[in-house]
Amino acid sequence: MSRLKVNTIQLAPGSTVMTMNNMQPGFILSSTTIRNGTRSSLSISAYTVIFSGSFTKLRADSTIFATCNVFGDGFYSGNCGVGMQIDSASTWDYGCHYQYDGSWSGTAQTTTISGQCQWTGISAGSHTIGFGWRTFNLSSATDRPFTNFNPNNTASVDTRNQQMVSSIFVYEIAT
Amino acid sequence: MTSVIQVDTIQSATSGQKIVLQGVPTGMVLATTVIRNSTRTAISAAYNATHFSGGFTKTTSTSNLVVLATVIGGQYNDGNGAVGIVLDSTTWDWGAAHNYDGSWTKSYTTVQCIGTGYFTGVSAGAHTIGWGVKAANGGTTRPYETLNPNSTDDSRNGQFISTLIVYEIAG
Repeated sequence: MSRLKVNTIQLAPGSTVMTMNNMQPGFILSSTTIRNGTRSSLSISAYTVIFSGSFTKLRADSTIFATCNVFGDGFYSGNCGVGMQIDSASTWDYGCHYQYDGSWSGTAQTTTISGQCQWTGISAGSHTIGFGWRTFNLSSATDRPFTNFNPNNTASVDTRNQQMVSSIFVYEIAT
Repeated sequence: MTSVIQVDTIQSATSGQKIVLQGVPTGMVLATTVIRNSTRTAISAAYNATHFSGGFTKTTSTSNLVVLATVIGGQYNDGNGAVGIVLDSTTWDWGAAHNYDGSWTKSYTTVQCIGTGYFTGVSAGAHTIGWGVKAANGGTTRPYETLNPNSTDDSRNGQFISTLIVYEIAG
């Protein structure tokens, strides 16, 4: 058994990135935070990606795990298949949800969506991860989780609000 | 030229001293701190208030902070109220919100608050991270009347626990 005793590990001169092979399964190799703090209105549809961002996967044999917090005002559909995708709808993951009210004022409260999604078999390199909704039956274009993405203190919404920011947090996990 | 070290175990050369990693990939998690609060606390309406907080130590000035929040309240009050994550009592992040009912019995429902905060340019050393409210219009607000409800609010409840997870991320 080989044992290295060291105080500091640093990148070799001339290198741009440190590669770690054979780490323990579950070790977090990298993470990326994607945020959106712009209020926008949503159209009804069967499938829409509301916001997205890019990340770089370091290894082909790792797993991608992502969490999200997404906010809106003007509740609309009780269910609509909220989730996340990587690069295209074929990777849609339905590990997201929200609790619908439907009885109180649509502007004086916030629809809060949270989710945890996971993907395997994603190649190394650059990818795009996005959050949105995709109804399972895709039969009608009449849904959306809320009317407006990222509530703020616009008078027609609620002057108490700060500009809310929605986030996706991407983890690359060693396997 | 690529340099490779083949080794089974890496450990500190100095007893009691932690290993310092430099030049690791951007996005690697360098440190994690979990802050939990399980004390039922009455919350007064306020313009700017921190409901609970805790300390953590940032290992390097070049890293960024991601904070995940799950906060639980009892007895709903305001439908909106600018909940947020606050660094060192002054720097707010608004990547947070809460659910509101408003029609069912207050004590029979729980207010769910979630958030993801992101902070850059934070110095190395000791800091405080907290959860609270700061209304944009300068008015007073509170999303719930009690932080961390328990059987006092509803005899079916256990003691709820609110959590902030602080990730220090290589920049």
